[in-house]
Amino acid sequence: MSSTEQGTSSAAPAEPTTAPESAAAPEVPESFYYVHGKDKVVHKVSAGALQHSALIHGMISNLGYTEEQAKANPFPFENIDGDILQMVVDWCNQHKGKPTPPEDTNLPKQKEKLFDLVLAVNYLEIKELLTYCCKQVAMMVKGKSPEEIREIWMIPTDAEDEAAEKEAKKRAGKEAAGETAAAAGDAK
Amino acid sequence: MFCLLQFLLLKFPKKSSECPPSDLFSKNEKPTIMDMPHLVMTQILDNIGFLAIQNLRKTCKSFRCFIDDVKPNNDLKKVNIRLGHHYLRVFLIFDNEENGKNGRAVTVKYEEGEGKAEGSCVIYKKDENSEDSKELMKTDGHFLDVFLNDFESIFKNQRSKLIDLGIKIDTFNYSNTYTYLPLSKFQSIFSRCLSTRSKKFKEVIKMTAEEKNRQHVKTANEMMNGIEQILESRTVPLEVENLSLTVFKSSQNFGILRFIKTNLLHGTRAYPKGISEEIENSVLDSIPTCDTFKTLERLQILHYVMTNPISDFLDIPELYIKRESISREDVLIMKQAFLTNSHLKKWKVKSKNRKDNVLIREVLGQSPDNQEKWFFEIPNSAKVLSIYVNYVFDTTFAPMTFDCMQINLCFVFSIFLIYKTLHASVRPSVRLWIFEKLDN
Repeated sequence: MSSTEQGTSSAAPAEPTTAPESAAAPEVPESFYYVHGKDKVVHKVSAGALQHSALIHGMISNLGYTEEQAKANPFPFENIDGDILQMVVDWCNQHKGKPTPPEDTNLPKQKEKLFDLVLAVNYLEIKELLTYCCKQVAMMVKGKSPEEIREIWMIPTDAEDEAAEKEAKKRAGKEAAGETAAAAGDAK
Repeated sequence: MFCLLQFLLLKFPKKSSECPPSDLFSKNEKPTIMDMPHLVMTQILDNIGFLAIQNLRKTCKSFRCFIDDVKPNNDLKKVNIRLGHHYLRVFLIFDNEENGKNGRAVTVKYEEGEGKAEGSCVIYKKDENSEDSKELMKTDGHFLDVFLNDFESIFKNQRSKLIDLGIKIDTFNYSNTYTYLPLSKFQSIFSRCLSTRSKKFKEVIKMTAEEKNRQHVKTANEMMNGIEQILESRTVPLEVENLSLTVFKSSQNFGILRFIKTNLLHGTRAYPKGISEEIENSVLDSIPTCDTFKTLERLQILHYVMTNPISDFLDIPELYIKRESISREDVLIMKQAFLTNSHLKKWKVKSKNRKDNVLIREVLGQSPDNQEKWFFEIPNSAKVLSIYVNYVFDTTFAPMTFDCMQINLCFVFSIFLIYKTLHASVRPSVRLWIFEKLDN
């Protein structure tokens, strides 16, 4: 990021702050930003709604985009499925500027979607939604036997665990050997 | 700017270098519970509840290690352990009703199995909603070992504060015979008559009360040692609001207290009548110098004689103890402590020696009309120190009680109205001060 870019962009948001003083307290126009997920579908979200996400909020305040710049450069979240991002955006819009209720019953019931949502929400750092999601995941196994928990959460057995550990060790060994060989090559 | 956008295109970063149970299984395209970052998994486990955590520990080694490492918060609030003759029962009470179908309380009973000389154990479980206990499983080994094995992780992983922890050992049983049938399989009367071992069989079931009680004491000592060892292995003391112990040995009270940070300790004695050496061992000679003892708000131990100097207890606001006798120094120390330390609220010191009242009168002055009450002004305080001596017969065989407490002035006035002895028993300077305060 060049310093000139930062300078121009930081000057841009200063304009609306001076405007209300001259007019008879008109409402400050809400700024919008654009995000897209893996499916490249662009979602228009207000800055107020995006405040729920500490990650995006931090970026917005650092970038200081103008409306045109924001439209031209949607934030790409290639690691989040389109439908999951839609859910997150909807939640942020619903709870824009409102106190969050103690429980949220609109979360997905299917575990795959819920796990996807948890990872996305954790990545985007939406604290309240993450709390709801974690409660929802916890509720899945309350009152269940160990076998039922293993089935619901798809937990591998100890035998599978050991096999995977061996595999991981092998992989780590190979990587370490590769690194030492590379280091030796550099030294030569 | 490009750098920032490039950063977004990266894969999900892990929030911590420590991965939740393992990230070794994330080969599937769809994420599983094993792919959750450490902080997310911790947050999930904090919401899961005590019973589900115990079940989750049984699913695989990775989760077991993760739970033992993270020690998630849970909803367990009260634990009551009761050791009976040949069984051990644990009552677990939870904070809320969100424990699924299991309700708010669960009782687990570990009972000595029948028919095996080596020892076997039957585990029963009873939910609050169900009327009868259900047999959960049978396993080999002594019932105490099975209990300690089960509760080792529970006591080690308990991070949130418990409201109550009670450990109660039953007193001795005086019945002459051991009532259970030692053979697990049904035997016909004929086979019993024909059996050449019938004499031996009778010997097994006719266990004397003495033998039975001896076994009980052995199990009780092993249980207390086992719990003490588990608590000792914790990195921080277990936090408990109220600790209640009914044990055979006074040392067991304080052995456990070293590893439990509690506000209140109520120690009672399970009477081991019939075994003489146990009766002799009822004097507590050493107060542990541990920090957990100093943070006590109330100590109540009336069935053991405490021989420590009275100054050992000056940090404890509410004290109920028993002593062989109360010395002149004890009276002076207690009076001075209450006059200078505002945190001391109420002390009740029982004495086995009824003649201590003579000595108390010598120190505090004569109280007329045999109303052994004294009031002393506490400097810079609206409260008054009240001392009185009681003579009551109780189960602790200490006929005399020396009570010190800080009371409000209005309470003194009510005493004055009831007994009409205030003029006589209170020093003139204090009396003037009381009336001054009442006038205001």
